[in-house]
Amino acid sequence: MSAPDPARWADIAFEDRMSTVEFRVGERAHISVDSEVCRSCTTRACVTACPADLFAPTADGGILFNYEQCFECGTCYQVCDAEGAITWTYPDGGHGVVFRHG
Amino acid sequence: MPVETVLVCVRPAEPAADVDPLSGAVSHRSGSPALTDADAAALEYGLRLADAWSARVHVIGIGGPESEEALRIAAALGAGTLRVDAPEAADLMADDRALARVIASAVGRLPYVRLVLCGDGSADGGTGALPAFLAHELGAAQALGLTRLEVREGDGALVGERRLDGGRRELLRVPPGAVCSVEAAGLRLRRSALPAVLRAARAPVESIVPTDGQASSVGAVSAGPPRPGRPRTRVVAPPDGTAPRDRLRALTGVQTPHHAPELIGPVDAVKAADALLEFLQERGYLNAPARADTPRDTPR
Ligand code: SF4
Ligand code: SF4
Repeated sequence: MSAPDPARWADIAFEDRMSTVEFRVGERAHISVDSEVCRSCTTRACVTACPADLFAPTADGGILFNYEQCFECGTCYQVCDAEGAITWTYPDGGHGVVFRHG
Repeated sequence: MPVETVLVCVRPAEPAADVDPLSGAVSHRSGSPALTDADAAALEYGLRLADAWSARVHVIGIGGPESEEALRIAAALGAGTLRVDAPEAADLMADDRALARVIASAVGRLPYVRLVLCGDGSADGGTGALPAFLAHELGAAQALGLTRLEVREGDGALVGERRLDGGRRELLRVPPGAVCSVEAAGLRLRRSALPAVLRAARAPVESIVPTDGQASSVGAVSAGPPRPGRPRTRVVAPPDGTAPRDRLRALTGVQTPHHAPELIGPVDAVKAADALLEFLQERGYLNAPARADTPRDTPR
């Protein structure tokens, strides 16, 4: 395991990262999170890993998830160890993230 | 032997705009950095090279009095400073060729300039053309868009590295007196000591006002409509692991031991204070109370 490098994340501000993409939000949530499964999760890897900051822990131990500014990177699906916590698909055609806006 | 100078040119970025999603009101984000990442990298390279050559660093800043903050950061690191007085609204700020002419005139006031360094592009979508114009004005060689710049061990030559298409790199041998621009790739500006910061905060910054003839470029190329900015790509070390999942886990830092994020609340003030104290004790910022059963109302 490599040593943590906190400086790595300071390179680009969150707002700057989000300002370089455009989101065409579809009606259907392309990722859903089962908050019941998350209640027993001890790592909360998704909260740390999602580059768009879309996972928020709730006071009752669950997870609140918003799919609207999702980069479709698949990180949450890859890092989550709990079976059935995340259901992941791509958004419907014409919707989703548009990179390198401009 | 006369003391040589490494000259660094910096220019402040436009403050970033924030748009209120509800009202649509546009405001300027306060606290935008005094030095852009690329300018900070240029300064750091300047300091490193000055160390290697036993030279002096001199920083020329462009802009109104508000740009002095960047120069004070440089002064706290031991650099000499000079400001080219160009108020934000002035045409000069948008005219890199005229700016280069003013800077070139200032270069004549410094002892032998061994190298001129600039940041490559700016956070506010600047064209990055200033170093090229500057090289033209000074009649100097140029090496632009460098990702690395260092004195080679052995023959002591100054060598720069830059990207080529297709992921390839080229190494450039940079001659004395050249103008170089550097990317903010994997480099951080060193910190200065507090006494130096305090001294620099009080020190006057010398400024020069461009003469009429210098401050405009007749027949300069005019640019088209502005487009949204795109951050430049930068060098990032590849993460550990062979499988995509392992690489993602290494890249996102979820493998490093950390406390799982949790939301405490809403709670009343007493519980919130307890949670805060517990958090500080856990991380060693506060000593734990001598006895766990210390009554809450006992003054500590
Ligand atoms: S989505 Fe996966 S990693 Fe995130 S809280 Fe739920 S179980 Fe844990
Ligand atoms: S796919 Fe990427 S951006 Fe979207 S929710 Fe998962 S981690 Fe976040």
